[in-house]
Amino acid sequence: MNILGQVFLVLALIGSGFGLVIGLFSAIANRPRLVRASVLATRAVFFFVAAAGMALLYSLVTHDYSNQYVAGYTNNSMPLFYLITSYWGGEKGALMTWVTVLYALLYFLAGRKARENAFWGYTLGIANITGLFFFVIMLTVSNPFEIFVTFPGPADGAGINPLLMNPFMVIHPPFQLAGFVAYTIPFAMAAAAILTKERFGHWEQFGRRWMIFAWWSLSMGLLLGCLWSYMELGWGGFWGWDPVENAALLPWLIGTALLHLVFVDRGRGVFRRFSYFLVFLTYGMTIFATFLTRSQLIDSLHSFSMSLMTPYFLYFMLFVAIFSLILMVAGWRFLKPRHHISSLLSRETFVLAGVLVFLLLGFVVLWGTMLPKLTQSPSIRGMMNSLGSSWANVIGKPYFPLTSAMHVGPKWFNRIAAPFAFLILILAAIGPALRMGFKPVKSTIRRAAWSAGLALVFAVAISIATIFFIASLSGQSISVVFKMADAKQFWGFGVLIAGLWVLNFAIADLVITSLYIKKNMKISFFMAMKRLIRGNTRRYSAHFAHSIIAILAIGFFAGSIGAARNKIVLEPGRFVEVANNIFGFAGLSSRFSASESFATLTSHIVVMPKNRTVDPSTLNIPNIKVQQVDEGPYLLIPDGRTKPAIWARLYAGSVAMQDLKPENIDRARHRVILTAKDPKALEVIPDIYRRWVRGLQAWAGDMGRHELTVQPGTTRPIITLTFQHSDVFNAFLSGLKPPENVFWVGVWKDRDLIIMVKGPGKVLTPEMRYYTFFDQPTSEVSIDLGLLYNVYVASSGAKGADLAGLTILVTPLANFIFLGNFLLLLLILLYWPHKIISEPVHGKTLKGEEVTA
Amino acid sequence: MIFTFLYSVGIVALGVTGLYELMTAIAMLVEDGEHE
Repeated sequence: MNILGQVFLVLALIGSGFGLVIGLFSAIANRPRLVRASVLATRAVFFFVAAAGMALLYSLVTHDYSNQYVAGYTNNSMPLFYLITSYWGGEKGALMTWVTVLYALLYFLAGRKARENAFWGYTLGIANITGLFFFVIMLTVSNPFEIFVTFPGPADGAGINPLLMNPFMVIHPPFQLAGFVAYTIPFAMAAAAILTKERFGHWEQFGRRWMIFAWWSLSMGLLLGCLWSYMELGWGGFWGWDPVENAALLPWLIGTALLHLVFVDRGRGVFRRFSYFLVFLTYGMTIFATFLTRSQLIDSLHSFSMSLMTPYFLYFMLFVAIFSLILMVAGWRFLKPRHHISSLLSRETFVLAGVLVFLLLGFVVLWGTMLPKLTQSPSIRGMMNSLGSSWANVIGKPYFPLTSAMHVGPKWFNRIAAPFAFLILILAAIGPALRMGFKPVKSTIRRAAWSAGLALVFAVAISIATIFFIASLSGQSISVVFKMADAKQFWGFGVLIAGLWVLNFAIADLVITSLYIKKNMKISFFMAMKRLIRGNTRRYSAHFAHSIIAILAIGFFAGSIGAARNKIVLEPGRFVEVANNIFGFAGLSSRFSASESFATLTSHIVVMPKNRTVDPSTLNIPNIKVQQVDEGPYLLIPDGRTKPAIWARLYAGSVAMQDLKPENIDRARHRVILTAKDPKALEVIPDIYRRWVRGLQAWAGDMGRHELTVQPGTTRPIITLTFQHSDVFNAFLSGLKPPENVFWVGVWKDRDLIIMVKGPGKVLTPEMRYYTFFDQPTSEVSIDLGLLYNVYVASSGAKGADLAGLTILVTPLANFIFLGNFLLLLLILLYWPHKIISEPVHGKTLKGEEVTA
Repeated sequence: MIFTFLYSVGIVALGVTGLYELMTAIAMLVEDGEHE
């Protein structure tokens, strides 16, 4: 299969080279009929790539470890699902995915749209340049079909980093890569349009569809990456401003700016030069992002392996930059704007302002990302120092020169990004309501003023409510929250308010305009609304898309402002209060997952809102006085220590919750032999045995030796308990059945028993996973998705100890990010098939509304 | 076994389709050259 795959890769290289040469030749030598040959060559490459891809998939699924990629990223214990998805798990596979997606898109494009003219000749030729570049890399430095030369390959593979075995991580790379790849098509079309001097019509009309797809796919990719980071990395955040995240954000920022220019331009040619420039820039950024992801230029969590591709990418980026520059210079005169912005209050002005903010933000992100690399060089440091000191002289403040490479962290990025996000949201709120190109008439201004006023009132009201909500959640007084709003969190609050304003404005625009139409046309409110949306699809699609972004921004910024975090080490039975929730740690248990070959150390955490009490009857022990404890999920049995039978019964419950089971019961001698429920877990984490012994010994000590002795097994990991009294022994046995409600039992003030129960709370079970094929344990967080806030717990249990290191987070409105992601998924359904994307459609005229929909 | 066979047939079919398309493209080029 490896040889077959290799052969298909070579054929794909030949095919793409052929498509490139023939495409360009047909355009330059004016042989339009030859475009067909380029189309066929491009389609042939798709078939070759598909065949090569299937060959790689076969090697992955059948554990062909003679293939270096298969041996490096899979192993025998991986489930089929992850075997298939390791197709894009590593660098070589990511390249394979890149070309697979590129040629699938090109197949679709070339097969359905290509006409026999120079524009399509150039488009296919230029698109094939990217393909050729990737095939060259794959056949030289990063070949997915490379086999071991000196030996037939290992018996088992190295396996993938377990952090990547997560459903979000499985779908994040394909979306991300498809987003990157799809920008190749607008790039090729834009270049072709300049080379043919737009003789063949406006490519934006159909190129726009690809931009929408690319933008959507990239957005989905970024968001899924955020969710992966939240669910898997154990630090509780969505976005860490890691260099690779930033690199992926850059094409998104510029692509968003581009999308707006193209949307608002609608082929009228107001922003021709600007949009061409942005097409080139976006494409360049996708290559840059791929390069940064894989080159290890800057240390990052995404660069899982060293790479030899760096020089190839540098040369290609240089080529793209020079090629784009030449095209821009060549097309500068001919790309003269055909129209100009007609009014300051038009949609174009707002879009232009937004585009500039996006670009500026892109520049700042790029600057922050490259800063560590740039300031490594002493000459750049010297330049920055001289600039800095002269500026410090001017403003009369001391300057501390840079002596080593400078790093900026997430805090810097968050602080910088917030004002930009605020501005963007403000523009996003107003933009769609404005009219295109026309000077506003009085009625529009009046209606807009009403909408804006109403939206502002709503936004302010909701903002105040939000502040109270965050205050109550983080357990702080209002004045503290306002103080936060005053100082460094000011812009974060600004973003929350602006986000709410976007939502309010969209709703107000819809409601008020519908009321206006209802009054004028004397129809029902819902009919009016229906007509309004039908007649103004663009405007309300924009409102919808902006609302999604606002929902996401609210989710991100509410978390960064209002999240309450606590990192603490707890021993069983103890609790901690975070943001009005009581987190009680009940102990650890372990099990082994045969399908994925890891053993877990699971922490059992009972979470209960503060001021909630537990009903004593839930303990269900007749004739015993049980009391409530004021705080947390606890019940108390007064003088319980003097009642060994009760105690033994309850304690057996918490033993059963852990990972022990009775192996042998000797009723005559009142003896129970306990052993592991899951011996395989004990094999992977032998230290857990010490934990059991210590726990049981401590219990025996508390009970009094006369009641019970604990004998650790010497040859086998078993523990023998010997009871002095038959009633205590029987009580223990009866409690060994899975506990109804008991998680942990201990002594309180030397005489009472304190019992941790679930009550009205929830049980969270964060895990540490110890993979048999991977050195480092990984964390599996446990999250309670709530409507208003998420409770998030990650644990790092010490292997042999009872203690658990917990990272606890209460994040307000985090679900907005999940909601936003879901809505974004739907967004493509709204935009993709609709005719407004390909051709402007003339809609019904409504009084005071746009004529074209 | 059957799966492997069918899978291999699938791969070969894709490859042959690709080759057919590439050959057609080359043929077009040759034809174009002859016309000139």
